[in-house]
Amino acid sequence: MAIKKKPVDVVCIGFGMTSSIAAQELTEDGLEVVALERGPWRNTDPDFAYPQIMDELKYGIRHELQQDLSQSTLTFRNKRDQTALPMRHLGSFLLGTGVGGAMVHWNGQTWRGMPDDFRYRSWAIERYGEDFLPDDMTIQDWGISYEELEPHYLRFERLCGISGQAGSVNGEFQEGGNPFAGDRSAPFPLPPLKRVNATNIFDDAAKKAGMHPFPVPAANASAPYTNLYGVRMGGCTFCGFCERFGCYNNSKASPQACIHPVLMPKPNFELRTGCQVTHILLADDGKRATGVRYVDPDGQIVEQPADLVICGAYAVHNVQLLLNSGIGEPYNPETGSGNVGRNYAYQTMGSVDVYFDDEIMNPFVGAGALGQAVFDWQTAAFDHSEHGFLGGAYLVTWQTGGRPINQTRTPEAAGKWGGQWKQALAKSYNSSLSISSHGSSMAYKDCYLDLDPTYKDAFGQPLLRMTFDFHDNDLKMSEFTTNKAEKIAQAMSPTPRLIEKNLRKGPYDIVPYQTTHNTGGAIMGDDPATSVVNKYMQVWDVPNLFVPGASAFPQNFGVNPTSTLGALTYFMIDGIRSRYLDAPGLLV
Amino acid sequence: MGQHTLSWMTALLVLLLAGAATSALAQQYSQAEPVELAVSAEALDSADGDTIRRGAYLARAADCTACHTASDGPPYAGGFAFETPFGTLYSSNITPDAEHGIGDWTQAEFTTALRQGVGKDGKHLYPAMPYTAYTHLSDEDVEALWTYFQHVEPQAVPNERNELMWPFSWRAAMWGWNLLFLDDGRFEPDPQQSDRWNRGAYLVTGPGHCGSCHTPRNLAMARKTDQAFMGHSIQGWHAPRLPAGEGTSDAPGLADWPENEIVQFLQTGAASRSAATGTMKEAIHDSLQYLTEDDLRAIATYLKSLRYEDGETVIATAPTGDNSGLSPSVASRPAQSGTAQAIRIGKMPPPAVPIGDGHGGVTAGERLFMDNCQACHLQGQGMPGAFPALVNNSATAQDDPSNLIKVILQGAQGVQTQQDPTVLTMPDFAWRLNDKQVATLASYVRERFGERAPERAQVSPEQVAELREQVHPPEPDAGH
Repeated sequence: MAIKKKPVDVVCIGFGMTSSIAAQELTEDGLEVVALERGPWRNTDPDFAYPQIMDELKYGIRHELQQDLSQSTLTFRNKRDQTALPMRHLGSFLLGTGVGGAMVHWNGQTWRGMPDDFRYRSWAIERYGEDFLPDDMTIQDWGISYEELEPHYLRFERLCGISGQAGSVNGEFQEGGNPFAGDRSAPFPLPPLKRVNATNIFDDAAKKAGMHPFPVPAANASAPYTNLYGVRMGGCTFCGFCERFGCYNNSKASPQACIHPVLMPKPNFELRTGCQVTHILLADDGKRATGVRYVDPDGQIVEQPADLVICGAYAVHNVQLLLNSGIGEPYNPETGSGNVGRNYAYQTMGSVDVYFDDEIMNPFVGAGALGQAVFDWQTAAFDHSEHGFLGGAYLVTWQTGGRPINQTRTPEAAGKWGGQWKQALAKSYNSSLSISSHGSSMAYKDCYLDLDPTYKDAFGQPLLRMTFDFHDNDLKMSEFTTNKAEKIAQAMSPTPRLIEKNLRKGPYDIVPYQTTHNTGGAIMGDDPATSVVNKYMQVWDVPNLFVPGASAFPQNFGVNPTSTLGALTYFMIDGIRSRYLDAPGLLV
Repeated sequence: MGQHTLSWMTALLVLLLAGAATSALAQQYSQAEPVELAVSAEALDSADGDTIRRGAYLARAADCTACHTASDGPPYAGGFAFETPFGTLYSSNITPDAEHGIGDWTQAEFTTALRQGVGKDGKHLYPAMPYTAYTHLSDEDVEALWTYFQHVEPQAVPNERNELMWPFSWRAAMWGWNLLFLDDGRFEPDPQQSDRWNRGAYLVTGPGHCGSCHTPRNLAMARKTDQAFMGHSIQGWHAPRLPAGEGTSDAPGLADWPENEIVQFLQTGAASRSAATGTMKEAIHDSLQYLTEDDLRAIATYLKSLRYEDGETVIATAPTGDNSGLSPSVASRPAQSGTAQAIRIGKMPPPAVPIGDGHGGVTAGERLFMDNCQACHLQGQGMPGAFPALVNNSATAQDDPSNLIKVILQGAQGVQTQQDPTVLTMPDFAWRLNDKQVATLASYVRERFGERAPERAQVSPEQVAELREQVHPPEPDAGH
């Protein structure tokens, strides 16, 4: 028998960034808000305290901060005619858990989409004709424009304390910024991070190769910063323990560093941890959410009624919840009907390793988004007509750290172990760098999420099943952009002693880490026939249910998703606070 | 008064002040409280509402909740335990509950308790209750406090019996102590001073009872009024001196800070040159953050008028200037090295003075600093707005190294206030550095950033060992 709690105004599923933003903003209007987080309470102190957090084995390899796959995981297959099997280790992407969610252990790379990304389908058809798109490519326009989103990008950047060099501000181009980025209404809140040798080498070479390098916008504060909520952040000390680790310095943007100090003391906000939401509950007519059902830390089933439900879990978990709750029509890849689970996408990565004689990189001086990049080969930055693929990538040299287990590189010929490998490592550790090609991932008919027919999680619910493989379009794109990265390497000074290119090859392998950028499955659009949510993240079928997150992306563009999902969350909040609360109903 | 009594009172004072939250090293958020603690909206809207608000504000200024609220108890219901080597003392229930609280007290009895330390039926209170300061409270303020406490939510929490050894359990002994040390009387404004100064003097010497921690004590554990605010050590924490003047070359007083910084410090526990440590954090959290900006400025005005001259604390005829935050004695020192000057103005200095022992090596102190401290405190300028500077820092500059040693051992956390809710944390190093290492590091920091001559900067491993015993190792977070 379920325990029924006293109704509240808003219930937030998950307590990562999207729910933290929602809770902070909606409590300002005096609403009673409850957030339910399946994982534990985490705070900078004591969970990310120096120096204990700087433990690569514990956090980087054994995933102390991430999801326990023995409780819940997903099943995976490349193709529909295969049987999906449970993912038993974290590999290609790192599912998070706990207060703060994935922004606890991200790197901080904070990009805006390009203006044309938001209407990529129309853009491609206008330029290249409908036949240019492969038959099974199902990309869509987002149903929102960059211009609409711009002030919310800025808000998110001012929340996080993004350090960067603006390109175009109110129509005027600033030297040193990204000439391909959309126009901004204001500069970044903080100046860019300091340069290091590796990023300077990239900068010079990229210019020599005729490209336009700029510092990457970073959620690692380049100086102490007080954000738009009055929360103070420290300045990054370049410890080199960003991705997979919490930040001990309050200098990497996260819900803990940016929001919780003002949210947690509020009397109209309550957080319950150790509470796994299993279902979003619907009224009998299926057109209204009445609250959620969850399992509390004692194993009790509890119902929390609410007028408004914010489904702020991680992208793939949002989709799993919608499917398990019977919301919307599940996507059927056979017939093409249904939208929930459709258009799952990822990221297509390639790289070039560059080895020098006697350069000094000091790679341990790292920050998660310390890098120099070019956008010259981005999704909407160049002419694809002769190349036969859509999409693009940014090319970047990062210096995120020099950790011994995961962040060293050695030439292929050195092997992976033994005396020869050790010698090669000693030689290359301090005098090598990489150029990464961080590429887009289009949407396809056969790349989708649904519920697994066989495997269940610890709560008896079907696991999410991921069906995904690289398509030729994206592999071709990645080869093209990785070749461009090779050109940059070849232009580097001093002359490298060795350049090794790593092209992405199919099939998609879920084992080696690539990115934690899982998108789609509850996509946004301006037409309920072809999307799950509208531009306010509002579920067409259930207007008091909002699903913010990268699950809303109709396909994945060539940049990291965080800033865009953050901006969409603020856009959603704006719609809720200024219109929905007074007149509940569809906002579009 | 005998030796036993004095050490008992020391212990009492020690534990009174060190008591509540020093073991809670893992940072948990506490819910925001209104200024008017534990009174209903109806009471605030009633005919007595204005008086109740005034009383509630004064209760914040006097910080009644610090002692009269147990850590897991309802407001003002008492039960806060003062562990002394001679037994345990419990604070009393001051809610208007008729049976267990002060519900059956008269206003006169309440007034006598506040000002003379004598409770109902003539029962003497122990001077853990700072009635020697509260005696300054005006009639109007006592009346407001009385009205407030009549409307506080009653709690039927029985008073714990004190468990004190005889003769400390003999309350009547306080009669003698009061005769010697209670200077019973209302605050008298000084007509030569501004209204603002007088308000500050009233707040500091009356409800704020700052001297209870900051004024040294005599053998009978009463405050040495001629040494007012010249600092006092309590269980390893040092409540620093406040006045400017003599001796500030070694230990600058708060009086030298710019007024804005004093206000910011009292409001939030953080300023560019210091972060509140020890029980000052509770004072800020429970009391000072609720004071109006005007009152905080008044306090700053009063404090900045204090000087120590010819061996006693006096009021200066002209208030201490700001001098960019440097005490006059510090500012007038011979020119410092380029490094020190660069640090002073907050620039990242190039090593104008070579770091090292001159033989290409790095001293042990420098090594320890680089490996443990430099990442956040940089070259001593810290990160303004985030991590305190170490130059002109009250912990590094104090003659008494206790605060510095304790902070190295057990780390530090900011205070969660409504003005500044962010709590930044300095990690602890007790587990990582032994006594000799902490001593070497502290000596280095005091020499380099406290700007002392090496022989005056020295801290011994024995000093560290003594303080280490008092440090609670960090507790794992037990979940929210």
